[in-house]
Amino acid sequence: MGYFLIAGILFLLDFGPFFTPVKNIFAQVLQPVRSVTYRIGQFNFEQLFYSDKLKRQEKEIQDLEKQLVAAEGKIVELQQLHDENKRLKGLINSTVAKDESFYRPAWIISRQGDYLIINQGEKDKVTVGQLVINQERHLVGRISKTYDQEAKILTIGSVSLELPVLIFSDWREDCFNNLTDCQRTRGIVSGKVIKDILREEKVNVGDIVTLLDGPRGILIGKITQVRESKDSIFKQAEMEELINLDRLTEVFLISQ
Amino acid sequence: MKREGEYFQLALIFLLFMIALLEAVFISLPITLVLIIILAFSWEEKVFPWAFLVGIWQDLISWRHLGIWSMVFLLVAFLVIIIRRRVLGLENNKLSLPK
Repeated sequence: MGYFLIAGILFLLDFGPFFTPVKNIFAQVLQPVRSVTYRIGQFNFEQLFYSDKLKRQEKEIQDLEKQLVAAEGKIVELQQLHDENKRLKGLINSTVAKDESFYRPAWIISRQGDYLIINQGEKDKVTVGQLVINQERHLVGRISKTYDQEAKILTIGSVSLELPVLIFSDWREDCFNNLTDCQRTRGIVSGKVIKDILREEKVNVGDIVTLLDGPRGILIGKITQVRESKDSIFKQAEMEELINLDRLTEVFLISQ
Repeated sequence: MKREGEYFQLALIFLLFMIALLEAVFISLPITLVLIIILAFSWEEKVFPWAFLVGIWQDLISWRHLGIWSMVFLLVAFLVIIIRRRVLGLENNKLSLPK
């Protein structure tokens, strides 16, 4: 009963700022431990039992996958630039805005459900709302809460995270080679669903979903299913994310 | 023999705190809660201080509201002890076999 009472008092007191310094000190002291523990958790233990040949092949596959996704990001970036150039063609005095974003690296130190915790916080000028990507320029999520030394990322795939997105046709089929306008439509991603897509817009399985509000070339996912609904204005689509949160150890915070 | 039992208890407590750390960092299953249930079943009231401390530890590591996990663990431990005594009838001497 006594312990329960103490826990209750702590719970109530934590609504105030009393424990924040204690929490910050605790977080600072335990940060290396959490970081190491998290990285141990990311280790692929199955590989211990692989032969050397299998390990090499596994590594080659991983490298090729990385190269592929990097190339995909680059192509989308170029395509976005191309589309923008096309739209701005008539404006002689206009120039394409320079991408003034810069990327600050951060280490993931733990994961809790839809959230990742990184080792940078208010002291590193991390702010709520900042976008977070991985090294292949795939969107990881958005900063939802900051502490003195740490920050929480609400990850893509969570229904609490809603972002405006652009949908591009799959360039390998018919788009990029012909240098036509690949942009199909826009929508709002929430979890694995993209809503508010205009009915008359053509969206296909395999189309690429990219970020609308932010730097160019940030990929979010690929369309896996298009849902026809009874709604007379909008339809929905399902997408799969391009990142594997289980294998993520380092991310980049976008600052503008 | 008594000393061995104490070492075993200390090892279990260490394991409890380590599992709470793993759970807060990358495992999304409530393993700590399961371990608390098992410990409450065998240790009874002795589990309360450790349930309280490991709850605070987990709240601190995972940036949750302080006291939440302590209250959950204490409540669960309390319920387990009640169930053990009243429902399963494992109170001292209740199920002792005739000599």
